[in-house]
Amino acid sequence: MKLNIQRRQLLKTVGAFFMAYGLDIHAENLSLSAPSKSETEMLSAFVDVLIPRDQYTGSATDCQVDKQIWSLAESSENFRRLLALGCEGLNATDGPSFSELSYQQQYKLVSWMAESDWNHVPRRFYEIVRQTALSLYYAQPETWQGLSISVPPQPNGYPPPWN
Amino acid sequence: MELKNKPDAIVVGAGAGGAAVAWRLVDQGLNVLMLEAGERFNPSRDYKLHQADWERHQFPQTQASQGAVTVAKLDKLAPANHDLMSWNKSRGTLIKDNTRQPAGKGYIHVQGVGGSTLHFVGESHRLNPASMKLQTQFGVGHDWPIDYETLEPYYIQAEKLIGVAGPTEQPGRWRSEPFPLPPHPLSTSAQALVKAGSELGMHWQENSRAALSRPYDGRPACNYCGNCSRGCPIGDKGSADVTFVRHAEATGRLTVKSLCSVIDFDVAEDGRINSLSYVEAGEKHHVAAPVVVLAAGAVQTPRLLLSAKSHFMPNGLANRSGQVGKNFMETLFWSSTGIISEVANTHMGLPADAICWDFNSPDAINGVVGGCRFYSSTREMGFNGPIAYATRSTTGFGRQLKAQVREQFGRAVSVGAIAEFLPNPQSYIDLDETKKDENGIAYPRIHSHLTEQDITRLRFMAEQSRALLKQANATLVEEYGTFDYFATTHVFGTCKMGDDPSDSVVNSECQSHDHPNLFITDASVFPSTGGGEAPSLTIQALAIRAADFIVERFASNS
Ligand SMILES: Cc1cc2nc3c(=O)[nH]c(=O)nc-3n(C[C@H](O)[C@H](O)[C@H](O)COP(=O)(O)OP(=O)(O)OC[C@H]3O[C@@H](n4cnc5c(N)ncnc54)[C@H](O)[C@@H]3O)c2cc1C
Ligand code: SF4
Repeated sequence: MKLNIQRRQLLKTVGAFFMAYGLDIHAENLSLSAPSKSETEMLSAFVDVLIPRDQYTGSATDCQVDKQIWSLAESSENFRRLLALGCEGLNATDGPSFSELSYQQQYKLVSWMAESDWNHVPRRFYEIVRQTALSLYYAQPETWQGLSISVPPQPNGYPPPWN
Repeated sequence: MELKNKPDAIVVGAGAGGAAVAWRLVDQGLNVLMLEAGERFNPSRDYKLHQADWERHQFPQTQASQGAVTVAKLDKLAPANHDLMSWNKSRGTLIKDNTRQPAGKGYIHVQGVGGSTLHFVGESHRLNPASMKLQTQFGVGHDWPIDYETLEPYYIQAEKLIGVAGPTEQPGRWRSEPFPLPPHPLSTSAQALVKAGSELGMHWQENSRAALSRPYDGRPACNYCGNCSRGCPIGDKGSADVTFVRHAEATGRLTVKSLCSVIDFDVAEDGRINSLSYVEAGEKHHVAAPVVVLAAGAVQTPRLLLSAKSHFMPNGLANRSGQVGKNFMETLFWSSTGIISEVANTHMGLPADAICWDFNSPDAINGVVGGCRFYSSTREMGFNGPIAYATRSTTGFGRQLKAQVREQFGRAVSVGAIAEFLPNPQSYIDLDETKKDENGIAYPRIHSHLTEQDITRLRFMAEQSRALLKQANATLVEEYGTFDYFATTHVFGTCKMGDDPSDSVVNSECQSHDHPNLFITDASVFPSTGGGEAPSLTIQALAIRAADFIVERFASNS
């Protein structure tokens, strides 16, 4: 598949993360095929904890961020592996899967991931998915509600005054 | 594309220096063939600022828009200098180990018709005359073989062609004529810096900019979208394509061949360049002209010269001095960003709209030779849209993250600083024989090293930037600098000019000491960088001057 430029740029960011921190995510027996039902449920729940709905704007899944992440993963083995590992990790606890936890429990788990060791999968998964999800989310004008920007910078620019 | 006329001159590279020399040559009646390795971008199609997802697009990168380059192992980062590490609120320290790293390719540039000016912000500066005699006056670096007085008329010509907008006066640089256009209005972020600066005794003023404050020369005025380095879709930014190249092509005497990489030269026994070879769509061609001008930039020009070595020229072309590739000088950069709750709409307005020249002279920073300048850098640093805030200046996740984006958006204020970089023996360009491009030419390899003096300048810039933002009541959210990142947008010095053929590559007319019909008109000829001045205007002034010399000496003969 021919990559478009924005996709390539995002994947470069992801690649840079791996390069910078030298994480070895080459694990055996991980499926690189289309995501399983449990993986999609897991990631959807995860990105909605990162970016929940509020009084102004929708959640990550309202804006299809989860779907866009999976579509990005189609063109990057590394990214796909990280998603597989991350989803597996989210499911690894005894008891209900991440997507079945209460919002409070999910929030607690994601908070732990955000503070965990840089060199391990949970933190790296958190950082990369956070960065990617936020970039995809805020690239959509409907998420700009409440900000002093409502349309792209061109063709009108921002004629003064600005105060 | 067939050539209409036999070229009087061939120009290699359509960037700042190539475009300016070509314009001046055709303006004086010569036929010029310009060979450019990159493509011709179409601003309204290729630049994405009108799209909903504009913020995810930087300047377009295509296969041909990036030159081959490698970076040799960089310095270890001494713990004593950790106050100079890049960090942001979202990710903490950006480099997690103890080695300096290239940001992307490290050499930030564009190949295309317009060269790196397509991606540039468009600050338009004259060199501080005091920075041109560093060896004589301070015993460091190299002197320019010409002075400011010699360059001044050429600065005027370049400024007129570009339509530079600037203030009535700038410290240290006399002018024989006013700027063609009045300065731009100051953004809210610049106003915050001006105010805080004046409280600290700093003198800030409007920056001189290659962006139109009024319609000029058939181009529209800037509409203050704030995104110059993503590529200006309306054409008011004075990149070389819409200024020099446009005017040169209008004469009918310039033929631009894009996607053509020059790879080799044929040299006659008397030292003249007979012809050169280039590759277009995988096929090799030869072309000859009485004059050859190299303007491939300070990384690719030395690469071409070094790789053209032969039995007769074991050091490469134009390199009897052994100076080709030496004296590599880079951008010494710092930026601090803070959120100021009293300020709004800082994503609006022209980038780099205000400047402070107070520390620009070579003796302005205590304990070190080489000055710097500070400028307003909010929009250049990319605080133009919500993605930047969400991924750089906020913490955590959830509703509180979204609330932070709403609270902060439009309130980021960045102060940037760029300083003099003095040549050192560990900063140079050679060939990386382990990596060859599709034409079998070795990649250029950049060696970069920061000296203690560079660290001193960086620390001065960091501390002054922090003091300024503190005075403006800002909460720091990000700092980024070239202590831990090798990220150079300005490159210089690798074919330096000088009067002594044993110590320099070209003379003061940009003519090779070794090959009388070979000229170099890009940033590689700079003997020194200046105290952080943006280089394009000086590159163009030098190129126009070289063209006049070529016309005088060569055109009449041919
Ligand atoms: C993000 C950014 C911001 C900047 N901001 C500013 C600013 O505000 N003000 C300023 O003055 N400067 C700025 N600069 C720097 C400025 O763009 C450069 O200093 C300037 O363009 C250098 O001019 P040059 O002619 O030396 O090289 P370039 O402009 O880089 O042009 C060299 C050209 O040669 C071509 N070339 C290379 N090899 C070959 C080959 N083998 N055959 C044919 N063609 C070849 C390249 O494709 C390229 O088009 C900025 C740069 C960047 C990247
Ligand atoms: S701020 Fe002005 S010069 Fe820069 S890209 Fe926008 S319209 Fe062009």
